[in-house]
Amino acid sequence: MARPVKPILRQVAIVTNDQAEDAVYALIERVTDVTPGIHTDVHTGVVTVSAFLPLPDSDVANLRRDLRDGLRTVVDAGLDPAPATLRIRKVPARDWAESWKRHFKPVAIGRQLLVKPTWNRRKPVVGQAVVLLDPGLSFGTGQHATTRFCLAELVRFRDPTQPQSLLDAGTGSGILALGAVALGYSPVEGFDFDPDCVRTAVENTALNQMTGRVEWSVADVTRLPRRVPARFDVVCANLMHDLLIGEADRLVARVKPGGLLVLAGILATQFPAVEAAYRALGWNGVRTQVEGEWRSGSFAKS
Amino acid sequence: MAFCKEFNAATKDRAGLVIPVIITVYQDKSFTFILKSPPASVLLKKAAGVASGSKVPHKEKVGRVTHKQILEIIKLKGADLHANSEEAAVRMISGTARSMGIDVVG
Repeated sequence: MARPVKPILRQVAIVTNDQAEDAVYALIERVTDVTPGIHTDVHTGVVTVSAFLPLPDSDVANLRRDLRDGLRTVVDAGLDPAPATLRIRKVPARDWAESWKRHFKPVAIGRQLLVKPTWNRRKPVVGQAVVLLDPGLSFGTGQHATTRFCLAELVRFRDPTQPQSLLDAGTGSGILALGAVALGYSPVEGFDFDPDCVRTAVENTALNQMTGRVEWSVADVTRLPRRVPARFDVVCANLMHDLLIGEADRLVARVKPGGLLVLAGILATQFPAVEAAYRALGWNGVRTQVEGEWRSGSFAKS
Repeated sequence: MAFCKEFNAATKDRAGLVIPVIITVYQDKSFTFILKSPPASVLLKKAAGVASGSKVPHKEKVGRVTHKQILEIIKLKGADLHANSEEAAVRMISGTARSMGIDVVG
C-alpha cells in the first residue's frame, strides 16, 4: 500500500529588482496559485517576491521548472528580472495556531498577584490572587514593563484594612481593573475610547468570574468632564505621554485627597515633561521605575 | 485595532483590490502608514477583464489591454513605479502584461 504523500510548508522566493517585481509577482501568483508578498530592502534595493504553500517533495522539481520557464517568459517580454535567484526552502514544522502562546508567560507581582494565560498550569502561592488573561487584540497582558509597574503599584498601595477604589483610564484588556478587583479594591471602574477594548475587558471580567465587580464604559479621556467629585483612591493611566500631559487636569481631578495617581506608557526620554506637567498642578513623584526604554511613575498631591 | 480601522477607512473606495501598505510603529505605540498602489499584475487583470494570467503566456493569450489602459495604470501607480521616464514605465507595464499572456494593442 502506497504511503500518503505529506505536503510540507515551503517558501518559494525569487530575488529580483524593482523593474521586474510586478512581473515576478504575477509569475509566482500564476504558478503557485498563492498571493505573494513583496519585500524591498530599503538599503540595498533588493526585491524579494515570495509565497508560502504546502508542497510534497515530489512536486518541488516541477515547481522549480515552471518558475524557471516563467522567468524566461519575463525576459522574453522585455524585462530583466536579475538576479532572478530562485529559492525553495522548507519552513520548519510548527503548530502555528499554538506556537505564539509560548511567548506569554505568567507574570507574578510579588506574592500578592499572579497574572497568567488560561492555558498555563502555574499554581499561585498561598494568598496570591490570580487574574486569568488571554492575549487578545487589546493592549495589556502583564508582559509589558508599563503594565507590570502599574500592577506593582496596585499591590504596594493596597491596604486590606481599608476600602479602596480604583479607576483604570484606558483599560485595554482590562488587566489593571481586574488585578485591582483580585487584590480587593472596590468599587472599580474602567474605560477605554475603543469599544473593542471594552468588549475584550468585559469578556476578561467574565473569564475571571468578576462580572458586576467592575463598571465598564466607553469613554475618551480627552472628553471627560473636568469638574467631578474626586472619587478614587487610585487612578491608573497607562496611556501615552502626550495624553498624560494634555489631560493631566482631568486625571488628577478624579483622585481623592491622599490618593495615588499611577502614570505609565511613557518613554524614559519623555518622562521629565510628564513629571513637570504634574508638578505644575501640585503633584509630585513618589516612586518611579525605569525598565528598558520605559519609565513609569506614581504621583501624590503635595 | 486602530490600524485596521484607519486602513479600512482609507481604502473603502478600493474594495476588492490588493493594497500593499508600509506601517511604521513607534516606541510610544503610535504608528503611521503609507498606502501603496496595487501590484501592476492586479491592475492589468482588472483592465483586461480576466481572473488570472495565462499558464503558458508565450503561446496562449488570455486577454488584451490598450496602450491607453497601460498609461492609466502608470498614472495610478504614480511614484510607486520605479521608472525614470514614461517610456520606461510603459516598457515595464507592457512587459508585465506580456509575461502574463495579456497582449498590448493600440
